[in-house]
Amino acid sequence: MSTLTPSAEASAAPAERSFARQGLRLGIMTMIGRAYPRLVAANREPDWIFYEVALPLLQICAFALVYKALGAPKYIGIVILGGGMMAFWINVLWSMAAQLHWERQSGNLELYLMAPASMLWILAGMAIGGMLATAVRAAAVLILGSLIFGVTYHVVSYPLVILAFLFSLVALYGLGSMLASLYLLYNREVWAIQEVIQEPVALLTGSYVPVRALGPIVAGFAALIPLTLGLDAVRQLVFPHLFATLLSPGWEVAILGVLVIVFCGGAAWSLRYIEYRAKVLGRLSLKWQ
Amino acid sequence: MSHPAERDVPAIQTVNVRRVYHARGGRSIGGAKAGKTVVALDGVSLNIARGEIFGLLGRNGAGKTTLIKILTTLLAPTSGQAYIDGMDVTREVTKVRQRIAMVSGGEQSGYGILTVREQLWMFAQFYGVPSKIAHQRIDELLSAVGLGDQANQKVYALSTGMRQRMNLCRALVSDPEILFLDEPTVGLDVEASRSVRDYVRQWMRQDPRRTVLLTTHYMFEADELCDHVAVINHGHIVAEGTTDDLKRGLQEHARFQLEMAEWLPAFTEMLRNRDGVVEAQAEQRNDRTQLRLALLREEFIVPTIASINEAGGRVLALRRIEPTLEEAFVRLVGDEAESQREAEGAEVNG
Amino acid sequence: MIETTSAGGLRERIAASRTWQTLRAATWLEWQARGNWTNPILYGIYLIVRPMTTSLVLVLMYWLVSGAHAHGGLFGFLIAGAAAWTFVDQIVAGVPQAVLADREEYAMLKYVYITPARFLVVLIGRALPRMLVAFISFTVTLAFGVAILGVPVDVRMINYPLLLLALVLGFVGITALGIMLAGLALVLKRGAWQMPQAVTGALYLVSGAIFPVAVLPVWLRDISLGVPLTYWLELTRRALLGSRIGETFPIASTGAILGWLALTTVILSAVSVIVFRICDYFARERGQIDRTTGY
Repeated sequence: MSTLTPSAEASAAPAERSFARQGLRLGIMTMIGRAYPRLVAANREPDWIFYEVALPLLQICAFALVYKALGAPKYIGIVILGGGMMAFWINVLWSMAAQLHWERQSGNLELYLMAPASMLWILAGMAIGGMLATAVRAAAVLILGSLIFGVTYHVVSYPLVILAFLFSLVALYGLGSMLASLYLLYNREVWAIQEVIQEPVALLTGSYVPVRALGPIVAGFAALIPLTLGLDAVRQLVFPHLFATLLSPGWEVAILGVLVIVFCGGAAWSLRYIEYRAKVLGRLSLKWQ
Repeated sequence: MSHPAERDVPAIQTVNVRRVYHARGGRSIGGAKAGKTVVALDGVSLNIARGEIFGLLGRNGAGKTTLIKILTTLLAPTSGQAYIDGMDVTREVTKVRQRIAMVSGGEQSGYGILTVREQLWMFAQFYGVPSKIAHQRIDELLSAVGLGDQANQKVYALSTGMRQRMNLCRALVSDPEILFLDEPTVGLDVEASRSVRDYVRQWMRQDPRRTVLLTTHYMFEADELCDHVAVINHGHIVAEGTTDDLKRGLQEHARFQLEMAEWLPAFTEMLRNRDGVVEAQAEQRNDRTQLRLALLREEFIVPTIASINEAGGRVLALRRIEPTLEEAFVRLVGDEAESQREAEGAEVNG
Repeated sequence: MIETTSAGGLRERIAASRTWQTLRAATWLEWQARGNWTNPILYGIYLIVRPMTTSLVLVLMYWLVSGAHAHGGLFGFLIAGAAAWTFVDQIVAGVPQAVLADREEYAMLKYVYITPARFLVVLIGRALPRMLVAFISFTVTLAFGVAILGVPVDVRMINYPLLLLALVLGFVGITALGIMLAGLALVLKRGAWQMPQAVTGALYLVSGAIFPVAVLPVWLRDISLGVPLTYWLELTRRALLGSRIGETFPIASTGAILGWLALTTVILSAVSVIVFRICDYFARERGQIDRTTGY
């Protein structure tokens, strides 16, 4: 191994910085490139309004009408808010967690692995694209649902609402990125796993009923899913004193902050593991048909 | 039961078949961009006799697959008629389907969840073949194409070549009378392609009532397999006949190559002055001379050789030079494209 | 060498038995597809988890409102509806997706389509195993509701003939819907995969799956009366829960509802076949039988 002379070190430092700058620039470009199809291309055809707004709204209306039938329309707001947040879970499940599996099926995964930028940038692009695109859909669901059922909101603290919302989204998409890598270990099971977990997560995160209704033990476990605490905190902050809560909003936001670190770190780790399997073991190219 | 008019009608017949694709509102259909119209077939008329392997040659987008789709009841023609065994493919769909089968190349088709045997059995059921006969045929077919050991293997685990051979068995398990092969060897290695071709030939030999319509980009494949071919370009049939007809059509003069033991420069002059000789070129190769002759007609070769002998020359070998099918094809579709461009130019100018 | 078995009488025998063979082979294919979809344990969980989760959500909603673990009349209504909806999920959404998978994933639809088998028979065959799967799911969910959640179903008091009749008529109507949507899925270019979910979502709302249609706005209530699923759900509930549950049609007799179910099922079946034929025509006209959309 050669040893660098002081003069060589001196000249290498700016080169490394320049390389780092180039790496950052490349990463950001990669991220924007991967986010583009979700932000722009996916909105080209207007039918997303029907499939991604009207369709979830139908289900939300059905559950809202259950509260009406039970003579408790005051709880309809819980369903509307839960339905809006559910849009993010569906997006994370089908367009983050399963995405690398689909990419493998279509032959894109190898291209991503060959690209000069880290796969983390690609995952970040998928997440940001998905998050922003879903935010539009979730907002539409929320506004329309609120208008249909005449739901009103009394916001206690805007900063906390925004913080709870953002933390829960970042942690949720971190979880999605982590699952995206781990799902590559499976083939035909992916679809099945997705189908199996979609509804129970909706139950556990308290999409249609406050999570406290599950009982403290189940709710405690459910709090590991970022959506649970995010939803509970936001609900507390916009529908004060309506239902029994899990923790105070401040504590819930703090825990969400921890979940952000855990899931984003987990995503980076699982991606490294998958790259190892792909490159060293050569175990990621089987296409199931 | 055979159709009563089976002996009198062509196995496949198309009469002025036209197919137009219209694309609407930002969508692309059949190669037609939004708001545009593409004429995939423009008055195609063909008669394919029973017992033939008929090749349909054309470039990508020429209309080959569209024609096969129409004949296999997958696509309706915009106008014109198409018949299988005299039965209209748009009106007598079920009767047509009883007689046909298809294999397409370049796709990974197959239910990966089933074994090879299960997949073939299932298709036999769709054709109403009793299970006992179906299993017997499956065994025979698989062993004939070299897949006997893979009978109980899941389809997803087959290689591309194996999958295509299985697809050929899938098509044949119903014992069709007319088989459509749409680029069946695309993406296959040499051995797998040869295996498919060999088996098609073998299958045709077993029953004189059988007919194959083959589309392919590989000219040697068409040359090797087909009794008759048609060349389609921009939805038109631009040439039809035997492969020899097509090749001969390309040649203005009869061309020969002669190997000569010795050569004198005076021979060239003598040959050029002979009746019927259009061109004579000699080239020295090692201790021999290679003479290339272009004659007005084939029959001029005998007196020409006699005159060489009389002049003291010695002919060691004689070979007729034929153009390849590929050359004929390139010339045909090139000419067609050229005349089309000219026509378009005239239209614009006019 | 291959024996030439096609000549003479064989073709006639083939034609006579083809419908039965097609039904059997299509049923078998779907069964294989279901069984191979994933490993059996995961599949078992999938079968019961969805309806059971919906039931649990409804139970929690009920308890949130009632403030206690009370089991009123509406409690059984909710759980029976959630359990029965599995049939719609499995067949109405599942059959079109099976057709799309054949076209887009397996690239086999065109080969099935050009066989002499009637495509409608193939689709009915594809629906049958889903019916069985849905029945298992329905039974397990109800058993869970009765044993754990305290749904007021007395096994000795169930009106079994009525339940059987409702299930048979329901299967006809639900399969007809599945066939209609399969036809539509063939001609849609975008959204073909989501369309069945959209339709089942709309039906979930208008047919009173988890709430009495009385709470719907009047115009939606009128629509619900034209949907056989509304009558089917009501009959299923009556067969299971007895006359204690009559929120959807409190004054209508069981016979009248049966009549409406039969009538709307016949109409729906006829409409479905017509729509399917029209879609089949357009799919062939546009060359969509073998075209993958890539969506």
